[in-house]
Formats: sequence, C-alpha cells, structure tokens
Amino acid sequence: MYVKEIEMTKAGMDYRELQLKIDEYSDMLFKLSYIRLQNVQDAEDVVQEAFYQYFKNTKPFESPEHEKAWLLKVTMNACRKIWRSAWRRHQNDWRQDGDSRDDSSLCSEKAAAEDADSLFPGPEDTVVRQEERRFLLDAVLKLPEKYRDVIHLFYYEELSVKEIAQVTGRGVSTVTSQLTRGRELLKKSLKEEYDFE
Amino acid sequence: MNKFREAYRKAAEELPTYMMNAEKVQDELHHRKMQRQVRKYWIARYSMAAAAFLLCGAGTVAAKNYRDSVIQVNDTGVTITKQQNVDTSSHFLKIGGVFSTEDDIPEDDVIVFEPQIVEYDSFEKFKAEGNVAVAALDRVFADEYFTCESVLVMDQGREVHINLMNEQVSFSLLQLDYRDAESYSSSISYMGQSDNERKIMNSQGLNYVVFDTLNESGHTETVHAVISLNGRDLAFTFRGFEEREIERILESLDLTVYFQD
Repeated sequence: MYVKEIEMTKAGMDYRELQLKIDEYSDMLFKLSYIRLQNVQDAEDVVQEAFYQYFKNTKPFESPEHEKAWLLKVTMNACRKIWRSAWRRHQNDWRQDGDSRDDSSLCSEKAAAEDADSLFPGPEDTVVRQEERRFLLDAVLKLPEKYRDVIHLFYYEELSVKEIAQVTGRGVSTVTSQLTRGRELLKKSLKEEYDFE
Repeated sequence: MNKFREAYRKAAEELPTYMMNAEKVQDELHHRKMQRQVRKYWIARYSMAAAAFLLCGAGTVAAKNYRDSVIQVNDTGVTITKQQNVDTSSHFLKIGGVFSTEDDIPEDDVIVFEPQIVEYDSFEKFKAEGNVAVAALDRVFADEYFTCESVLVMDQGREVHINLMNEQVSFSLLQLDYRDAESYSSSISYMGQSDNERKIMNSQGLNYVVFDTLNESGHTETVHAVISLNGRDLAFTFRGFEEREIERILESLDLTVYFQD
C-alpha cells in the first residue's frame, strides 16, 4: 500500500473513498440530470457540482438512503441553476441520427420495425428492441419538465411518492398529481401499449 | 401488455453514461464556473431581457417623498422618472456588456460598465450581512418554502436582484437606488404585452402600480408591481401566485425600512 495515495482532503475524506462514492452514484445523478436538462454537457456540470457539494458537506448521513436522497436533492437544485435562457445550447441529442423525428415518424418506424420482426426474426430483433426503447425514451423526454423527473424518479430510481416529494421540494399531493398526469400523457403517446401499475 | 417500469428501466440504460475522476470534484474552477452561469442568467434576465437604461444627472441627494417619481406603464414594461430636469444628453449606461441593444449609439457616448457583484444563495445570508436595506421578504413569505434563492448585490448595493422560487411559484424583486441622483429616468421591459394596470395600496398607505404581462395566448404570464419611494425604485415580479396572494404580500410588506436612512 502506498501511503502517499491516501491523501486526506479538507473534509476528511480521501480520494479513494470519494471515488467509490462517485462510482456508486454518478450514473444515477447523471441520468436524472440528463432527463431534466437534455444536454450532456449541462448534465456533466451538474454531477460535478453535486459531488463538489458532497465533498464540502461535513454533516454525517444517517443512512445510505439519506445519502442518496441528499445527492438527488442537490442534483435537482443544481439543475435549476443551469438554466441558460437565451444562451441555452442546442440540445446535445444522444440519438446519433438526428433529432428531427416526430411522433408520427417514430410510430411508422416502429410499425415497420415490428413488421420486419415478424417476417425476419433474428438479428433484426435487436434493432426492433432498440427502436422500441428509443421510442419509449423519446416519449419520456418529450414530457413537460415537471412530469419527466417524477416519472424517472418513480420508475427508474424506484422512489416512493413521499421520497420524491422530499427530493424535489414539492408537496406529496403535487407529486401524486404530476405522476398521474405524466402517466396519462405517456399512455397517449405510447398508444396504451404499457401497463403503468 | 408490457410493464412500463421494466421497459423504461431498460430504455434508460441507453442514456449516455458519465465517468468522473475524484480530482474533478475538487476543481474550484468548475464550481466558480457554475456560479458565473447563475450570475449571467440573472444579469441577462434583468439587465437585458428586462433592459434598464439609465440617464443619470450629476448632483446630490434630493427628494425624500415617494411621490417624487412618476411611474408609467407602457406596452412592454414600465418607466420611472423623477420629476425634475432630466438631462437627456447624459451618457447611456451599458450594463454587463451582453446582448447589447445600444449598437447604434456612438461609441463616445457609451460607458461600458462591468458592475461589481456580490452574490448570496439565500435571502437569510444576504440579510445577515446587513449592508443593504431591503424590505423583510422573509416575513411575508413565512409559509412558503423556496427551493432556490438567489440575491445579487451590484454596484455596492445600488442595484439588488432577489429571486425566490420553487416548482410552483417564483418571486423576484429588482431594487434600484437613485438617492445619489438629482434626476433620472429608468425603463424596465418585460417579455410580453402589458395589460390590466391597477393600483394596490398597502397597509402604510403607499400605492403600488400593478400590471400584468401577457403571453402570446393573451393569458397572464406574470404580475408586476412597481413603487418608488425615498430614492429607491422597487419592481416586484410574481409568477404562479394567485391574485389575492399577491395582494396580501404587497399589502403586508413593510416598507418603512426605506425611510430609515
């Protein structure tokens, strides 16, 4: 073991401990930031800011759940500060083939992909599944901001309504109604193909 | 029928990933960059998207009575003029240098001014400093929980921007201090058409000029209240508040602090 690697930081946490936390949580925070901001560079800035705040925080966490909720909350706050208004950069779309497709073109592509799947099972199956995932993700990303993050926190991070309320700073009833409304919009755009329970 | 939860979890795996080194966390420069972005946003919002052009005459402190200034609502905002000889040949002040609309003004007549800015991430911290007199917003908003607070103090307190917001509502106060100016005229523009000008009198008998800003659909986007008192011009902006809540806030906000110095 190299003693020089264990360099105590100002907050009493060494680099290795911090890196472990980053490895554990950065993907979670990045996905939430991206869902919210839909810009890779902005999402990266938010994650760095969240861990900067984490690094500077001196209060101990009561539990891993508390730590996770704290990081999510800081991330949500950092997302709000990232508004660029007139400077907002063109969305760095993760889709490689452009971002001009609308719902109707996505629907027809999906239908075509499904037809192809039934006729030519095998390698195309991967393509079909990929298209379905993109279609679903597009539908979520097209939701209004306030519904996007509750949908993501509920279905991906599997937080309860109460936990989402704490992380987002909204009331429980607000989160419930936003979740309901988000589901309604998704049911419409996804043509009732999914069970939301 | 597929389960949305499972399908979304799989779909979300397709999102980009981000690998970060712990050393980046300790990059103070990055943190300062984030702070500058916040600052730029608020400067843009109030200095350009709501552009303020100052015509300042030289002179010493003058009028104390809040009625000295005339507040006029126009199509895109409001103009506040102190009722004395306004020197129209004075210099135009270009705030911040961003998104300038003064490009047709001769360069010799333009002073480029980069204001000194002190920022606070909560109203409480700003109040604790005690350097600039501001109405006690924390009292009127005692029941409201704001998830994002920002106070920018510019030019040693001559300009203060206070912003408080949560998911449902946002509130801002632009406070301009003209006590050093013998006469002035300032204009604040907002996005959208002004409408529904009215007055609200507070519990101290002071009148706010209140008007709405409409969006493209003709619905009220924001509500503004402007008052000029003892050399300070205050411009409040409410978004997401009910009208009766706005009235309650304006009626109960204690403005005597502006007459104590």
